[in-house]
Amino acid sequence: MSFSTSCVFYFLCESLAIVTREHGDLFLTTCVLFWGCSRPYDESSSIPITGWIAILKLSTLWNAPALRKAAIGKIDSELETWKATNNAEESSKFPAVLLPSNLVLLGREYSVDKWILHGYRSLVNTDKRMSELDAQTIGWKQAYQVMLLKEEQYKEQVLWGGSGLVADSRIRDTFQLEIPVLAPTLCERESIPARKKRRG
Amino acid sequence: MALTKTVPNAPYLLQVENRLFRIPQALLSNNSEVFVDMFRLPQGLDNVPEGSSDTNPIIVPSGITVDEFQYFMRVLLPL
Repeated sequence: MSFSTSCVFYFLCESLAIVTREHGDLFLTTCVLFWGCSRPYDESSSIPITGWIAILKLSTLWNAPALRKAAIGKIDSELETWKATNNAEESSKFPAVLLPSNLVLLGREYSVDKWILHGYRSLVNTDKRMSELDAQTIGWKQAYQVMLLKEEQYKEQVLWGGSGLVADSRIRDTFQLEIPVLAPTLCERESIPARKKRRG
Repeated sequence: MALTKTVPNAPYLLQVENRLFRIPQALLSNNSEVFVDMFRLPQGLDNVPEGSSDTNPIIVPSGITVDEFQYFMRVLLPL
């Protein structure tokens, strides 16, 4: 490094030191803002699913659409991960907060229609009998409607054959007060809701 | 995502439960319309803006826990 380059480098360091000493708070704030505003949201960080639900809650409450979208996306990918898991031991570790009945609740609370549909679809298209806790969670009236759908589908399967799965359109028709937006926009409505809650 | 130029960048104090957080104002207003509106509200006659000192923080409504708020900040600013 030449003498002139060293002088310039020394001058820059000294200037930075003065700025840092005299305007420490402002300098730090500017650094934090530059860091915080110049990069995308860190979705790969080790935030648990309950943390993402908290982020969804606050971003919905404080009208922060980008954060809300990030939280919904993260929870969606978590659901997809578990969907692909066939191992029984791994499946037993499925987060309780994303179980079908709780997913319906989450969808209602934060107006994410696709989670309401996803939850009802899982409850309807299963061989297992709905538990009392699930029925209590989604509401007795909705539980009754799920049982009716299952019964109708079973009858149709016995009489006419078929997959035994209830179509999404039928689930939407049954729970249209909770899932008011029809396909294909149903699963894309992730903007901040005008109404916080909808009850069937 | 552009910074909201009308909002100053001074750190603000937010009280969640019984804990105080010092957050750069623009970081909140850059991401949340609710905070943009809050920071634009006219201040009181005593010239002590809400959130500018430890004794006068912005009180975050009850029902929001420290843990929830920390997760929110972790995504905004993962240091």
